[in-house]
Amino acid sequence: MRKFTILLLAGLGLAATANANTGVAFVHGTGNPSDALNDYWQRPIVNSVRQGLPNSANYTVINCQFEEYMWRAGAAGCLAGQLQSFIQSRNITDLVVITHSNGANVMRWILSNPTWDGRYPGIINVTREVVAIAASSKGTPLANAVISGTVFEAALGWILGYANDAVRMQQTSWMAYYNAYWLYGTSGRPGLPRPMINIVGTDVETAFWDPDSYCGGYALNVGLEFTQNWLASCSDGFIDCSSQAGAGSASIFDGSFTNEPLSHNQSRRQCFGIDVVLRNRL
Amino acid sequence: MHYRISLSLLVMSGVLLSAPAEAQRRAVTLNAPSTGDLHATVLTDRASQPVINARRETVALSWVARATSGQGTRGAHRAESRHYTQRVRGDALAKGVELYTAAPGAVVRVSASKGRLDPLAFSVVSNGRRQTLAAVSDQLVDADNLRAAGLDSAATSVGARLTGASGHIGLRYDGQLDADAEVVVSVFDRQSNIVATAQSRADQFFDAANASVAVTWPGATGPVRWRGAAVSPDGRRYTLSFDDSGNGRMTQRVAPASAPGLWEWRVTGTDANGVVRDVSTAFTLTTAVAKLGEQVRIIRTPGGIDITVPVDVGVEGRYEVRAALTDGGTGGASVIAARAEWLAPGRSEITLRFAADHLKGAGLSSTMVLGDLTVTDQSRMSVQARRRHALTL
Repeated sequence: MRKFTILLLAGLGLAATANANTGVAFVHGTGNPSDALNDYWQRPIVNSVRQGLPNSANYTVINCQFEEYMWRAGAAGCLAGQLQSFIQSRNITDLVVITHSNGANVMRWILSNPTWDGRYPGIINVTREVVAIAASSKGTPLANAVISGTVFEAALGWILGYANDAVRMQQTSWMAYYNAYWLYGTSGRPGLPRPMINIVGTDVETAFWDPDSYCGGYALNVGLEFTQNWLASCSDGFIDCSSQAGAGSASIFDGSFTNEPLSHNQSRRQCFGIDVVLRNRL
Repeated sequence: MHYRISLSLLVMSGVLLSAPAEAQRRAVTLNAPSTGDLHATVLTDRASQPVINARRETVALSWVARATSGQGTRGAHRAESRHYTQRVRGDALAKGVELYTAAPGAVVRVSASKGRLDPLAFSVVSNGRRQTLAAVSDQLVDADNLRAAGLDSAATSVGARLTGASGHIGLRYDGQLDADAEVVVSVFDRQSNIVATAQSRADQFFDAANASVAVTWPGATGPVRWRGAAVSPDGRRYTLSFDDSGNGRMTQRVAPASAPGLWEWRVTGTDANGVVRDVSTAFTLTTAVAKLGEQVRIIRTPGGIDITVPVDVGVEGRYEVRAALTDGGTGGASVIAARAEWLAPGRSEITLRFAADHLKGAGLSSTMVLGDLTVTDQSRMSVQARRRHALTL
């Protein structure tokens, strides 16, 4: 007999019931980290956020190959596998997924294409919401800038910078296509089956006399001041605010909870109270 | 904001639930495709793309989806550019290469295929005067800065924001650099109002002969020379030839080509003053391997609405049918149903199940619109059919 799965999902978000077992997953951005906990996020923010859980041990930090296209086995396939393992091993019934940068695109692929993989519906079923920090939902002009070249020559990403599929995918015209045909949640498209809440960083500050410029690493912020040249006046140095807020159901701008803007690097670290904002969402 | 949980999970094996005796059944013809819909007429029985998704399990799903705000963007993406790139040899950079920026504040990046560029070893000639690059820049970075920012630049990269030079600029490298090094100089004229645009005629084409791109150079004071290529997913280039369509727009049709997938139009324009702009935008060529049948069956029961959709398949693979029921197109919440399974060549039927609980939860009344009826080839990742307004129930 043929075996199949039928799922009926509520399109609206979940509220944690008295008996829910809540867990949180941290999903990194572009890259292939082997130790995202220490290299991508660093322990202080993870340890701070998970204190918001009834059981602070119910957390996982994902390590996948997000230099691939979002639909590939190493990206969404890997993310689905690790989320499923976490859900099953900890009996999670109420999951909050925290993403950074391109991690939101990979998670949005799962939410938008639930029939692609038999594991996806079960993950969606227990997901309460996605909190997308500095999401590249509409791509970034920086991807256009590094994947460029003259008309008749090979793409010069190998010289100028990135030459991986994830950056190629995040070019603005490519993300426009994916948003129109493969992803939900942007303006004019159907909403996602679960709420996606954006946290938006609005600027980069690198004043050497200002201790706040050193949170997350001063040298990183210097580079982001330069990359901001390609972006609109509202950006975190890597992603325009319009892209960060381009998909999902609501957006929280950094100015609503801190006097300091969160750069693209600071938003994945324990800077300016973002960990408290995340903790409170659990 | 919190919401009540309302979900149920059914895992079944074997036979579909049979409809109760009080079901209302009818056969309905879909609305004909309209402008913007995807509709193949002739299917192929061969697919050249590799299989991305070979999963055999059937997955069926429905959910209530809130509407997003706004209308979104209709039509293909319109790319804009204030940017150009030129490629030179190391010995040419040692003698000096000419750049042109239309406004102060341009951002210049230089990368070489070997060696390491010292940002302090560059000089610039502007208005007949030579100065160091550092003297005319308010931002000067090297690859370490860029990599620290997450822009994984080649080790040789240097970036500068020119605030003290614009117009015709001579850029020269006075440090150690191999004569045969390949050097890329990228100029982003960020403050300029000279912007080239490119817009594909559509996001997606079944027939390469119909693919075209329109390029513009608003405000050009003289003729613009355009060169371009359509670049396939596997990197092959097809040189474009432009026809002047008048009204400042140039259109081009790509040469017949294979390689379905995401392509790029890459175009360079040069105006009468020597200003250069590179602009690129994506489009998709799709091999037609599946299409919608035109007669669907609708069964209404107290449990909900089942809509059975015929699908003609040319190449076996994993196919999904998906559609949304909305309340007469008023833009409120919708109920989306999707089903994916492995299909053999020939005609198959896919039944979408819209549960009564979801229809009630979405506030849908007796008059509903079935929209965004889509057939997707998940095996080779292509959208095969889309009917925005499929029928009214």
